[in-house]
Amino acid sequence: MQQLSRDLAENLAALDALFGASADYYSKSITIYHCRGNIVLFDGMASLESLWQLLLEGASRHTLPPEQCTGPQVFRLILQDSVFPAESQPVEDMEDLIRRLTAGMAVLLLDGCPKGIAFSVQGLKFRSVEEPEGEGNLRGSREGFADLLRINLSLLRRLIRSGDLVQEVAQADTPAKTEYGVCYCRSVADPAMVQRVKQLLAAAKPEMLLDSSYFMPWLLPGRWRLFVPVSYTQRPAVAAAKLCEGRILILVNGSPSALVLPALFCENFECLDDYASTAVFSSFLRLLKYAAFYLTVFLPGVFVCLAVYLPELIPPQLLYKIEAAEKATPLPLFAEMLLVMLLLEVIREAGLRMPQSLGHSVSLVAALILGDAAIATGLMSTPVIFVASITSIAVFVTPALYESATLLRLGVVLAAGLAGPPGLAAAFFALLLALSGTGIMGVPYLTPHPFPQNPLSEDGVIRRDYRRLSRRHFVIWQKEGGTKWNRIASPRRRRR
Amino acid sequence: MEQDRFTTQAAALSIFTAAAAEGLPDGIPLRLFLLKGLCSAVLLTVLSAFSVTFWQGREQNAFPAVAAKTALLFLLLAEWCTTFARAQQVCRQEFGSMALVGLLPLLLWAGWKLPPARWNAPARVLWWFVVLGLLVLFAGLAGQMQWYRLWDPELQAPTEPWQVPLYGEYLLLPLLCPEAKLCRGVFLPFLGFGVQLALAAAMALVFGGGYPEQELLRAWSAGVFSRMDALLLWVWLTCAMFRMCFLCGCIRLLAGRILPMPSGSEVEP
Repeated sequence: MQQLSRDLAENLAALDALFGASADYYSKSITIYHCRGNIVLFDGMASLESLWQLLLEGASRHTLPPEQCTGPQVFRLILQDSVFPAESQPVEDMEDLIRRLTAGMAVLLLDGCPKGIAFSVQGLKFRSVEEPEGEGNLRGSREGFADLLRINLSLLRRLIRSGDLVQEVAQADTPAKTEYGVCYCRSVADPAMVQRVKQLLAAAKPEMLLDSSYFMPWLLPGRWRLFVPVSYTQRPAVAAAKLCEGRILILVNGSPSALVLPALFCENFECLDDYASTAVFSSFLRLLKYAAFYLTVFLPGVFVCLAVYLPELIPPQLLYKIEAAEKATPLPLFAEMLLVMLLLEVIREAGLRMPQSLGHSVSLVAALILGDAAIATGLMSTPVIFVASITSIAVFVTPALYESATLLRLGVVLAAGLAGPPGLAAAFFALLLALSGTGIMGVPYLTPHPFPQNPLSEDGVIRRDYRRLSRRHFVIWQKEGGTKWNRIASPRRRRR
Repeated sequence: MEQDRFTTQAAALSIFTAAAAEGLPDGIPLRLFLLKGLCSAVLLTVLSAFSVTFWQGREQNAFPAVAAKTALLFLLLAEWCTTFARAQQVCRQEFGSMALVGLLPLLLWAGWKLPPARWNAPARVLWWFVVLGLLVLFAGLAGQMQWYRLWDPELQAPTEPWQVPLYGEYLLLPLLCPEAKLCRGVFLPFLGFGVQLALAAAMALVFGGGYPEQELLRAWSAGVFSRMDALLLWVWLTCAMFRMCFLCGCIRLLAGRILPMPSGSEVEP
């Protein structure tokens, strides 16, 4: 760690060597209290206007006798005996200096003093606090996380106005030295787990850290998995609710996406609106979401299995229609289904990655013209396109499970198409085992009483009214029998 | 410790699967079946309770315990083979598929590798499928049931000897399930008896006897859906796959008790 020198020129030479070639590096020599100094900052990150108001105005004041204006004395005067709003912690070394500069601060280096004084004059340009596009809600807060870590932390602090909320910031061990924040509520989060998460993040060495999800391989190392027992949110309101349940939140500078851990499978079927509408209606919606998820995973596979291996289970009227449609196509039903599903994924990806104005056109052309043409030319049959379309729409009911549902759907179709009913049974088993084997930090992803055994809990597949839910506070770290971490508490309450 | 135990629900599903596929004695009057089956269930319950006492009280490394474990290991292996043979028969005859043979390595791997606790959640879900399947079956057969066929006076007692269905799960409860669940577990023979009795009663109500059990599924009918036997067989097949994995897990547990495995071989949950 390179310490700052007493010699100002030496410090400036070191900075020049590092940033001299950079267009945004700004360095200005000044004299303050008869002492030579230098202001360094990055243009665009620090506001020169604020800096002028704070510092340069005072730099013309010569209130000390010249013989008392040595570097250390001026340093002490500015830091302790003046009204300058300097940061309380002085800059001790070159690493700290760079960290402050890249955080948008201006640093005053004085001749004869081996320490610098940092001023919070950030003037960073950033995306404003807007409603997140990915998490639609009818009621509740419209605010979404921005890209800057400090702004996101302030959004959380505004929602949890108690000393319980802890927001720790650290630098990741990456070449870019990206900052990340670990947030938790002291009274409800499990201290051992918080410590464990902090240790894991400190030990993580990602090549780049552009989003909180980059930490996942360190939090859940080494195993392939269909389901990931963490969730992501871009809404401070949701994040605050999760924090109040004892969860740990990880925010990364430059990303509006907060990683929440641990998460439960059933939370993929809940949203903020659930608690704003009536219990009956939100329960109905949750049931629909569960149905949509299982539909999207199993419908194409079941359709292929029934049509190919068990046609006697299909009512005759429907069977005749499927048979007639299939006779007109060259591909077998199984291959046709796979092809349509892959095509729909390609269309979705194209619509997502293209410029927004073109994306809609691509989706429209693909959905209407291609689909219609495929049927008209006899390449694909209407029942297959109909089934594939239903599953493609149903998956968007639970967007958080999109990746898992897509992979599972393909797996189920392959298993059912190649192996028939035994393959379908095996795929079903694989889903159950994947769900029951997922967990993080001792908290299982699936409840020990999965659907439909425990649908009548207070806040499960269906929920009770909010007044009753509010009687008991749900905390995710619940000890069962004093020996095992277990999140299960029934009756329970969760908040989104 | 909880990681290496099954729940009684998992053991019960395994017994249900085996009992549902167990053939009924030919042409036996229901009254006699009820009487003999009840006696068998009581006998097996006593045996199960005795086994609980045996496993809890005896030194695990003593010769009788090791011998009993070895005998049970072979019993479980035989049951595994029986379950596989029946499942394969269903696949071949009803679905025209030999895919179960291809899936066998996966099932063996999953049953051996995954800790017992991983099978408890699938068991609970499968129980709901079973209940749903039974409801569907009942709904499709209800209109065809005739009460006068239940106690058919013309049926005579069969000459072949009565076979008591003994499954390894009855005798292995203390090794498979947590101690707190053992009280409920010793009554599992009544579940097996209940399944067989329900099957016998349904056969008697619908046909009055003299038909193979699978005809019950083929007799199903409801509205536009005229056939649902394959769906119900699929539910049983899924349960059979579960049982194969379950028995694999049991064999692994038992083998571990006879020949303790190195700690490194334990599967991380």
